[in-house]
Amino acid sequence: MRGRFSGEIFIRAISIALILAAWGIASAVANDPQLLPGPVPVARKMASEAATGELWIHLFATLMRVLAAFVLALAVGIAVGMFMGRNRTANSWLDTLLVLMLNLPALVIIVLCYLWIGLTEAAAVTAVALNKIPTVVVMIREGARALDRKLDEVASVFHVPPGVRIRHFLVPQMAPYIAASSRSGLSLIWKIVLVVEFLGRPNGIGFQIHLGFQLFDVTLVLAYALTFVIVMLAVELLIIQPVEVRANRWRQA
Amino acid sequence: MIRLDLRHKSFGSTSVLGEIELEIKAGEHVALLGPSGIGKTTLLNILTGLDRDFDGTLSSRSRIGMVFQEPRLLAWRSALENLILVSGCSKETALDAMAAMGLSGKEDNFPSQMSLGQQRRLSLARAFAIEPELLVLDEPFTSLDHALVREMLELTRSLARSRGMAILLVTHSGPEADFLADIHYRLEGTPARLRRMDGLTDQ
Repeated sequence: MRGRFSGEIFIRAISIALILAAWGIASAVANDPQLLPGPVPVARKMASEAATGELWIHLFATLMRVLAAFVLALAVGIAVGMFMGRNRTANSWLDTLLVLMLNLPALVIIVLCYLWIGLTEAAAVTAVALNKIPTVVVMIREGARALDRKLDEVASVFHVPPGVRIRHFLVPQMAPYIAASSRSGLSLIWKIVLVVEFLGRPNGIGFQIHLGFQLFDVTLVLAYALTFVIVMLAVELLIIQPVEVRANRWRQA
Repeated sequence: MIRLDLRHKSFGSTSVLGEIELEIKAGEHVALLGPSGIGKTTLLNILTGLDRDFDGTLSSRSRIGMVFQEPRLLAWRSALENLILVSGCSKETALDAMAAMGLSGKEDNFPSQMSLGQQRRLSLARAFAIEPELLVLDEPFTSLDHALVREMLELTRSLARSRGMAILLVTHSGPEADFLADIHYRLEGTPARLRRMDGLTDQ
């Protein structure tokens, strides 16, 4: 097991090195630092932005928006998804709205939120959450439909109190669905947060990318984009994966 | 202790159970027999309060411990947690119940790490752990080998007797009914009605 694990890390390291090498070669061939800077100038830019403190300010602003939108989308999505999965009538009523929301382009929701609510933080977070909620609902509804009714009967006959029912009957059954929607949620949300910042926020990674776009500064764009990718990968590796492993421990037993 | 006056039970337009009167008094051991598909489980769901959609009245003030056809355990919790969480008993009671079923040493196992026989015994231990006044057994011994059935029957009988609990056993096996119950009912006809049988079963 350990051998396979370290083998996997080795392969990952090699593949990252290959991507960097390919990028370096492409940039050397293009021979136009303005159009395609190599890994070294981009890394230098990241370091200088970090040194001035600019990088951290924008990174923090973006992360807070990601977190707020993520929590909001998951809370609302789980509540609505459970409701629709457990209640057929509710599902019939809400399904049309759900399909509509699923097919509404992210950009439309963002523009409408800014127009209706104003160029505010609340509008930005709402727009991002609204983009994510429908997909959370779809996944959670699937999970709620797959709940084991036989265990419901056990809980009823034995008069299991509601708290225990939620924590030990419901949550473990829903965990894979919640984990899946968190995972896909995070990657969707941070992409949309950048668009929201690009269109109407005075700070954040998306705002800096907008700046880089206007100044035709590809190095700046890549420096901020890569920083954020690295941070999100770290969140994935250090938070989401360990939680998932813990939640699924009983499956491997 | 538990009394049912059922006038009628149907699923859609299909009539399943007809007029049924059933009373189980404290300490009584009752067996409910009948061919599969006759409505035994439906009657059981009504008696245990799982199914409230029927025409009639149920009065039940007793604490019920139930053993289902399948073990129905929480696959993501250990054997001991399964007992404590579902029955709400103390750790000592849970350990005692497991020991009584010969499951000592299996406390930390997940259900998937136990054999089907052990899982069924755990489900029996769970029913005992809430210290029920009425123990309901829904064909709990199907697909077990004879030696194990014998062992579980004896365990159930001695535990039920020593604690004075009533039993309602649903089965299609005459010998099981004879072993565990003094009062035998047979569910038959369409819609099904109860017929009390005297003496041992004729199966």
